[in-house]
Amino acid sequence: MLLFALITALAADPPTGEVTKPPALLTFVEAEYPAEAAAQNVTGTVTVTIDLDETGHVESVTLVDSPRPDFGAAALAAIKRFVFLPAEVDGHPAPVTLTYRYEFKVLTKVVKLGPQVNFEGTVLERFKKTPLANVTVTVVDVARTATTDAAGHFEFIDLPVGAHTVRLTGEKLVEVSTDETIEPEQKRTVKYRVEEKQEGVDIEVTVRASRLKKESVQTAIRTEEARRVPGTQGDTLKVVQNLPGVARSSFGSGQLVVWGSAPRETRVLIDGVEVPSLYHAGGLRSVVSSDLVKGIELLPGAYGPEYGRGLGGLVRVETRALPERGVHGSVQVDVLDASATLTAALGDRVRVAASGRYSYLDRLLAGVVAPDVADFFPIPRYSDYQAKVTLALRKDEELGLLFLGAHDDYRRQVPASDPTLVKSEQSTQHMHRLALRYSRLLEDGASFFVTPFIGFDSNLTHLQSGAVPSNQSTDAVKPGLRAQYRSKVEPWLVLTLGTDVLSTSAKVSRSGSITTPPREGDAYIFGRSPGDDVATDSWTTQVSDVSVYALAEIPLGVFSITGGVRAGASVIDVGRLQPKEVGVPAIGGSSVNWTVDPRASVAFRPFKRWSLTASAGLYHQAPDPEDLSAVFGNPTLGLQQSVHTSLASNLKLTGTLGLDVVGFYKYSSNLVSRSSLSTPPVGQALNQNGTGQAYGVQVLLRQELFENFFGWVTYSLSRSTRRDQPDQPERLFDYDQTHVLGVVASYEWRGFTFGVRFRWTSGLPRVAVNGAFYDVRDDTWQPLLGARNAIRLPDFVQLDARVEKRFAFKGQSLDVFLDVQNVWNQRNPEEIVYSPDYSTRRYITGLPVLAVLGVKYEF
Amino acid sequence: MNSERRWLAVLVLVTACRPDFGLPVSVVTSPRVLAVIAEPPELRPGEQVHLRTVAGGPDGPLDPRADYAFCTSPRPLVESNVVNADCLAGATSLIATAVESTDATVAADACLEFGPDTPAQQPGQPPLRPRDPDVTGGFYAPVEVSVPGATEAIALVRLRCNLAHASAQAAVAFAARYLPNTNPSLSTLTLERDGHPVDPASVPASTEVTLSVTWPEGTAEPFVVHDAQSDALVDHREALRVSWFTTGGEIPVVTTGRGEDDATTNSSTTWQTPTSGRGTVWAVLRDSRGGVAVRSLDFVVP
Repeated sequence: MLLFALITALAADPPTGEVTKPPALLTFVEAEYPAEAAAQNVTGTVTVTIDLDETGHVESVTLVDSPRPDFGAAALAAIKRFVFLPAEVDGHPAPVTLTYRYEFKVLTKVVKLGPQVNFEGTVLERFKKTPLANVTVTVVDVARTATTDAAGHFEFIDLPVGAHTVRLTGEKLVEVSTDETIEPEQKRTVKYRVEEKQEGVDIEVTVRASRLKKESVQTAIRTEEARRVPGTQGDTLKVVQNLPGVARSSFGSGQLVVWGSAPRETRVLIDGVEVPSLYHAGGLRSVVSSDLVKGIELLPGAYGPEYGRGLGGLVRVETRALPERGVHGSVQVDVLDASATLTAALGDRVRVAASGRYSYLDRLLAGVVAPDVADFFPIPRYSDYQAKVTLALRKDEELGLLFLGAHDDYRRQVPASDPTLVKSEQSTQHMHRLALRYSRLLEDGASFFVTPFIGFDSNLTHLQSGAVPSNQSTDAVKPGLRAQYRSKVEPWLVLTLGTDVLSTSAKVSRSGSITTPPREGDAYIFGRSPGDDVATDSWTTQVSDVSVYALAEIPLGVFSITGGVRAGASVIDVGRLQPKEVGVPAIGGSSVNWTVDPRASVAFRPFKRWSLTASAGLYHQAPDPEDLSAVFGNPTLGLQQSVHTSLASNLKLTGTLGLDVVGFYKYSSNLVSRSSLSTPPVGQALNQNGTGQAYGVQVLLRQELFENFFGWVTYSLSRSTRRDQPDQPERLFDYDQTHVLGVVASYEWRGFTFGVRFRWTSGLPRVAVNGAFYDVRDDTWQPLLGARNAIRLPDFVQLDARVEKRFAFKGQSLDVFLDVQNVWNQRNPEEIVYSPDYSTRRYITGLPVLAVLGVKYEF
Repeated sequence: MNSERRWLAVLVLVTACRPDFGLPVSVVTSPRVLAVIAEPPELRPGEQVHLRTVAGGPDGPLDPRADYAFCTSPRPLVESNVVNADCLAGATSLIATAVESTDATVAADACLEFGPDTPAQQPGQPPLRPRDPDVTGGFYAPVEVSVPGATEAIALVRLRCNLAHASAQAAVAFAARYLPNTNPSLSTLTLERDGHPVDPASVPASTEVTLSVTWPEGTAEPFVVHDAQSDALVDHREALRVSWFTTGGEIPVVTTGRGEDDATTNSSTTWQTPTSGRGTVWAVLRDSRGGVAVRSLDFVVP
C-alpha cells in the first residue's frame, strides 16, 4: 500500500501583516497505514492544523477531522516530524498556522517488498470466447514461461520493468507474438483472444499479420526493437531495408526493390490505405512517425487475395492503438529533422494523436558543401504529419479516423555563362490520405471492418536545361474502400470475405523528350544531358479497380490449405486516344479488364518445429497514369500480370531462434516497355511486349529478442531479367543484385543499447559505354552504348554501428543515440561518372564515416 | 534523369565531389573536329549543301581530309543520342572521301527519314507517330564526318519540313513568317589583360587573359516555332553559344554565350596562358538552329 499525502490548502493565521511567502514542506514523513484499514482497503483524509515557529519547525499539531481514530493518530505522529521552510510575513520569517490534509489512499495492490504479480491475463479462444487451458505464455526476452489454468488464466511475478515480447504457444494454438510493457509499480492485466490451430494456417501467420486479438486494461505498448537497428536513425520503418528479399537501393533513392520487382510494383499500405511511398524522397525518413507505428510487415510475394494491384511485394504498416489514459508525447531532434508526437485520451472513449516532422538538412548543409555537389545528390526538404482519432463505441467496436500526409520539395537554380547550361530544377511531391475505419469484433468471434478513404497525390518535376524543358506533373484523387468479414464458419474452416476498391483520377501534363525521365531498362548514364527532342501533352485518366476476394483456411491432417481468389474489374478510362489537334475534338476511350487471380498455399508440417510451405498466386497491375499519354505513352495499355511461386522451409531451432529458407520464382508478362521502332503507330510509344523473370533463394537466421539481444543474418542469391521486346535479347533488370548479405545485431546492457549492421551487396547493373562520338552541332560527346546492363558497379560493403542510452525519470525518458554509418570509411562506388568525352570512367563514392547524433524526449 | 535516382540521401554531400578528369575539353591535345559548317545551314530535302570541316590538332589548325557520309538509319524513338548507333557502324551513304569540304544533296525523303513526315497510312493500319522536333522546331539529317586520327563526328544539317499536328491556317502562317536559318558570323576575336589589348604575337606567360568575341547586330535571328498544343506560332530568337579551344594553356570555362533574351553581341572567357610556345585559339559560335561561325588566332608566348 502506498501512502499518499496532499497539501490541499494553506490557511495561515498571521498575527499581523501579510504573508509574503508561504511555508514550504522540506521533509515529508510518511504515516504508517493502519493495518486494519489497509486490510479492508479503507481510505480517508485526515485534516489537521499545524503551528510552525519562525524557524519552520512544527510546534504543535491539532486534529481537526478524521474518519477513523487510527488514521488521526498515524497522521499526527507523522506530521510532527515534518520540517518546513519558514513562512514570511511582510518579508520576515514569522510563526504561522496552516491547515493540512493527509490522505490515506490505496493506489494499487503492488507491494514494494516481496514478490508480486505484475503481469497477468486470460487467454480465450477467439471465436467461442472460451478459456484456453495449457497455453504456454512465454516472455521471450527474459525466457520466462507460464501456463494457463482451466480458466485460461496466467500470471508472472516480478517481471522486469520495460518492453517485452510475449509469445503464446499451445498444441492447438496458432502461435502468436505481441509486445507488452511493464511499468514500475503497476500490474498489467491483459486478455488475449487467439485462434485454435488449423494446420498450415500458422505458417502463414509467421509471415503475415498476427492473428492475436488483444484487449488490454492498460496503455502503453511500445515497440522499440526496430528503431534500434543501426542506420535507421531511430526510424522504425527504415528497418524494412534490412529484411530478407529486399535489395539495397541506389544510395539515397529510398526505393524498395523486393524479389526483383521494380519499386513501383511494390505496394505500401498504412492501415490498409495505399500510399505512394514508404519513405520521403531520398529515403532519409519514412512518411509516418515511428511513435505511431505498431508494426510493419513485408510480404515479398505470393501473398494472399486480400491485396492486389501490384506485381511486386507488399509492405503493410499498422498504426498503434492510442493510450487509454493521460497525455503523452515525444520530441526528437537530430541533424536530419525535428519531430514531435502528442497523444491524449479525452474521457474513456475518445483518443487522439497528432504527429509532425520537418526537415532542415538542406539548410544545414547549404553552407558546407560545394554547389556542384547537388548535381549528384540533391537534398530535399520534407515534412509529414499524421493525426489519428479513435472512438470506442461499444465493447469490441471502434470508429477511427486517420489523416496523414507528406511533402517533399527540392528546388535549384544553376546559373552559367553558357545559356545551354543554365538549369532550373524543381521536384515537389505531396501526399494526403484521409481514412475512416469502423471495426467490430462480433459476439461469435467473427470480425468485421470497413475503411472508406480518399487520397490526394501531387507530383511535379521540372527541369529546364537551357531552352530544353523536361516537365511532368500529376495530380491525382484516389477514393477507395476496403471492407472485410472473417469468421470461423465450421470447425475446420475459417472464411474471409472482402472487397477492395480504388479509383484513381489523374490529370497529367508533360513536356520534353520522350526519353526523359528514363524508364527501367533505358540506357541510363549518370549526368547525361536530356534529349533535346521535345513534345507536349496533357491528358486525364481514371483507373478504377473493384475487387472482391475470398479466402478459406482449411486443415487436412499434416497438410493445410489456404486458398483464395481475388476477382475484379479494372476500368481504364483515358480522356484522349490520339494526340491533341486543334479543331479536332478529343475522343477518349475505356477498357474493362476482368481479372480472376487465384492464390493458394499448401503447408506440410510433419514435425512441430519444421514446416514446408508452397505458395503461388496470380497478380495484376494497372498502368501508371503517366504511361497513358497518346504522345509519350499508350492510352490503350491494359493490365500487366505476374505469377509468383515460392517454397519456404521454416525451422524453429529454439523458442526464439529460427531458420527460414525460401526459394522463389516470378514470371511477369504484358510489361509496359518502350517501342523499339523509329516511328511507332500513333499512341503506341509504349507497348506491352515486355516480359521478365526473377528467381532466387533467401536465407534468414533470426534470433528474436532474448535476454536483451536480437539480431539476424540474411542472405539472398537472386537473378532478375527483362526482355523488352520479343525480338530483343534478355537483359538484367536495372535493380538486379546477385548477392545481398545483411547482418544485424543489437544488445541492451545497463540502459545502453549497442547495435551493428553489416551489409555486402552486389553492385547495380549499368549500361556499358564502348566509346563516344562528337556531336558537332551541340559541341558535346555522346556515348556509344554497349549491351544494356552488361557491367556492374563494384560491390557495396559497409558496417554501421549504433549506441543509445536511455535516461528514465518519473514517467519520462530521454534517449540519446549516436548512429555511426560506414564505420571503417569504405569508399563505396554509388554511381559511374564519365569524363566529357567518355574516355575515362570514374565512380562517385557514397557515404563516408558519418556520425548522426540525436535525442528523443518522451513523456 | 530518373527522379528517383536524383534524390539523394543524407550526408554524403559533406564529402561527395565531382571526380577530376584532368584537362578541360577546351585543350586540343590530339586531332579533333571543331566544327562542321553547312552552307546553307537549313535547307529543304533535295537541295544542295556545302559542308566544310574545321579541325585542329596540338600544333594548330589542320587541313582535314575528311570522309563525309549521310546517315541512312533514323534513330529509334528510345534513342537519346542525336543519331542511330547504326550510322556509326556503317549505315551510311558516302558523300565524299578525303576532302576538306564537299557539296552534297540532301535526300529527297529526308523529312520522312529524319523529320515529321510519316508514310502514307495503310488500310487497316493506324497512322505512324511523327518524330518530335527539337526545341527550335528543327529536324536534322545526320552526316558522319571522319577525320584521320580524330574522334568520329556527327554533323547535323537542319531540314525544312512540314509541320506535324498543325492546322492549314497555322501551316500557311508558318510558311509566311518562318525565316530559314543563316550562318552567323564573328566580327572579332581579341585578347585582353586588365582591360588592355594583348598582342597575340607576344602573349604573357602563365597569365590570366580574357578571350573575347563580338558578332554583328542581328546575328541572333528571330524565328517562329509552332506549338502543337495551341496551334499557335511562338516567337523566339536564337540563343548563341561560343565554344573555346586552345592548343596551349587552359580555358576552364569552355563554353559561354547569350540566351535568347540577351541581345548582347559579345562573349568572353578566361584563358590561362601557357608557359611558352606557339599555338592557336579558336572560337566557334553556334546559333541554336545549327548555324556555325569560326574564328581563330595564332599566338606566341615568348
